[in-house]
Amino acid sequence: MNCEEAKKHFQELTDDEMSPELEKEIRKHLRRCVDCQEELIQLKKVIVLLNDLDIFDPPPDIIVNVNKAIDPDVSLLQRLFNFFGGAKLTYKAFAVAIVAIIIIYMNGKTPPSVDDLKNDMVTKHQEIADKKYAPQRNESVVKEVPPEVTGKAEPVVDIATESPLAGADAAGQYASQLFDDMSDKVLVGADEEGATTKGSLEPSEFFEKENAEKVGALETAGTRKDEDGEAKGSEYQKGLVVDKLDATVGGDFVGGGNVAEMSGEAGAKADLQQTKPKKLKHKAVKKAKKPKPLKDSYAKDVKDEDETAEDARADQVVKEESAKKDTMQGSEPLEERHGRVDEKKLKEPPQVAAASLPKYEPAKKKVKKQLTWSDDDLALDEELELDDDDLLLEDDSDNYAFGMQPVEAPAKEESPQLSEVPLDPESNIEPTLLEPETSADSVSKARLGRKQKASGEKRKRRTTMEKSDVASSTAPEEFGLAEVDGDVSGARANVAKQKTPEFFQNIQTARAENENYIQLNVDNMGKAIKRLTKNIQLYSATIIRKKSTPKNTNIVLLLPTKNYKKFMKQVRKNIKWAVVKSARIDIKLSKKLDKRVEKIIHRKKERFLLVEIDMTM
Amino acid sequence: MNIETITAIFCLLGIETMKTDRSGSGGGMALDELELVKRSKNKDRKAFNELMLAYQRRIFNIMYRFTGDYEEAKDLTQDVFIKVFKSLDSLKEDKKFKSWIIAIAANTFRNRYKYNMSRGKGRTDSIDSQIETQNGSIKVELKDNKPGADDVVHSSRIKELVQQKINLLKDEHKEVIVLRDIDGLSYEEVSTVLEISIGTVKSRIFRAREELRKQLVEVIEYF
Repeated sequence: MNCEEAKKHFQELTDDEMSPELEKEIRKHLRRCVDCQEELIQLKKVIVLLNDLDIFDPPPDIIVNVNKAIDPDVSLLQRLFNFFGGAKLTYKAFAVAIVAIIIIYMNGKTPPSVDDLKNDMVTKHQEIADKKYAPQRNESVVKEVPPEVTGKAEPVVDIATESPLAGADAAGQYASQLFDDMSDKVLVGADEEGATTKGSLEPSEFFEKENAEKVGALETAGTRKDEDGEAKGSEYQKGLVVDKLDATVGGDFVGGGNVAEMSGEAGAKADLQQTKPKKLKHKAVKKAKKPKPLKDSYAKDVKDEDETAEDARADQVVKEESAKKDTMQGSEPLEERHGRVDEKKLKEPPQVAAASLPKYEPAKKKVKKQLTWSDDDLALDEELELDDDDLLLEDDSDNYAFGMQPVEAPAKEESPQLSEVPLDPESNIEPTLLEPETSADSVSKARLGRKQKASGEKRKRRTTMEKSDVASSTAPEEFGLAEVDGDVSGARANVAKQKTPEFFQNIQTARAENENYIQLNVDNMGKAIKRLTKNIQLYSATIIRKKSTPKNTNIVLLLPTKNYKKFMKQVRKNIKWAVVKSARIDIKLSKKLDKRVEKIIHRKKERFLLVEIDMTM
Repeated sequence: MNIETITAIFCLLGIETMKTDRSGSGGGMALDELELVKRSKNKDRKAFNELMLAYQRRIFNIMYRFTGDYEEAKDLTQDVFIKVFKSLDSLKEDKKFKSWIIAIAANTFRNRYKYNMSRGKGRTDSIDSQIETQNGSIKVELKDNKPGADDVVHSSRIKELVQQKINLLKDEHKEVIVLRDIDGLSYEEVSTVLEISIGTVKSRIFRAREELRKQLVEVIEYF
């Protein structure tokens, strides 16, 4: 049996699955052949090594995680719980109960009587008219209204003759009917004096103007014919259906614009888009509970109404108005109060009047809820652009060592690092490694918070560096890895004994070879990256900002492997001082960035090198 | 305290309770594996937790040897158990549960490997490896894998080296070596798990061992 044949059976021999005859032959060969003996021994040792490999305890949370993943009941319950607001469920229930109580209370509450309403409003308008607008009463209705006045003008809706829905109907329903009625009746223009009819309700409570000029036109528009009102009525009513809904949900009352159109004789197209739906609803509810019977005009379509009946009704309204005004201002007729008033206008019931009584106060704009930006948003927000690739500004708060060990691992934190003291090119001070800290120090520091640790260590390092003789430290003149790894002495040698060789392989130091170096800081990152990657295809550049030292940042670049040498040259040429890490294990990437890098690598189908320039100073 | 934490605590309590049950009440009779498998098929969560307890160490170690990465092994182990739970109905012979679950583990690893390759994880360089550039390869001083005197003294370092060498093996070799020489399955079982012939298993193991022997020659000298 020769060596080749014998080696073929080594496996059977080691597994004790060989026939006795064959084993005899192989043993015979082994006695003669030292090489085969050696090889067989090695093979057995390999098997022993494999058998002796440690058995690790599994992480304690495997079963918990699996249970969470596969348990449909728990997840369903959880989903249900979350759907109903989780822990806030009780609060929501409480809120619902409160709302229900309020509704019940509102429904049961007796509405104020119509007389009370009337008296209140009459008194109010009378006072205003007497005090503020008395000197202008004799001016023309159609006179041009000054801009400051027009800005305050408000159409007036008369409710004295309104016959609202009986009972506690919804506010939106009443709003719809109210405007139906407005379309039925004549819109009476009023001057800025605010000489409105008694018991009128201020439409400013329904509408708010956003355009003073349009409102002015509305005010000066005067009156409107019945026909116009009827013509616009149906489409206006349609608008109100939507408006009603908007009012219910607190939205803008868009349909108000139609009112302006209707009241504008000269085709004024005021776009009154703002209303106060809450007030409208409140007033409407009050009116809805008035004991008056429902008028036909509320129930019928405007188009179907009889013109004669309408005229008669208008006459009746005019009479009622006159009576009210008599009550309010003695026997002074409307014509006298307003001076020149068209007869036709007077015949029209003063359903809506463009008056300027109350001050116009725009509705408070809704304050936008302050959005809370997530970290992701922040990162995206601060994304920079560099050539055709992205610069992602990242926080290193959630960084972790790439695929290997978490960033919070004490070993990583406590490991000796190159000096972070910026070096003056003239002083020949080289970056150096610090003495490793004692285990007691490590334990105590591990207990500190991460921020405290980072800042504390940084301060300590700096202090140490300032006190120590940094000139005696030993960084290589050239910055190839071989040099970094080979030239070990002094404090660094001590570290070398305790650390595996990989520690040094991952780091290179670089400093500028010319005077026009870049002193890197947060302000010139873009410039620095451009200079470092000049004529180099750059696939990703990420600026990692450290929370502990906000002014210090690192750059992580994804380069084609073929450009690595060139890149290092440019680093040496342009950067005053930096540590370049190029092994993935040393480059901490957030999960997001990790995914991003992987995506680029996947897309480009090229060999890449991930490099981090550590400029911590 | 969020819902996850609460859930986790409940799960942990559940496990603790099961441990107590197993060791104490009712004469302390441990349910045998077959019974556990049967009950797990009926979606008995307690039984399935027992099964997981029984197998998690094994599966986790297999995964760790496959991947060489603790976190990855943990993720894969969880994936394996989730798959097992979901596909327990497809297990025809309860007796073969062990082979079946290890087969699922092997398949999970293969799928993950394919996924990683398709995501480009296999195409990145590190300074640890030789870097090819336009001007030729960069002479990077690679990590000296020859163990120093200190390393040899420490068996843990040797084991690390062994694991590193296992990671360098081809996947097909890695699978058989892990299952046969580390997990201790027989050739037949490996054959069943990997769905390959026994002859193939043997030849792969032979090649894998030979490869490892060559890689670890210098380690073995000190051993």
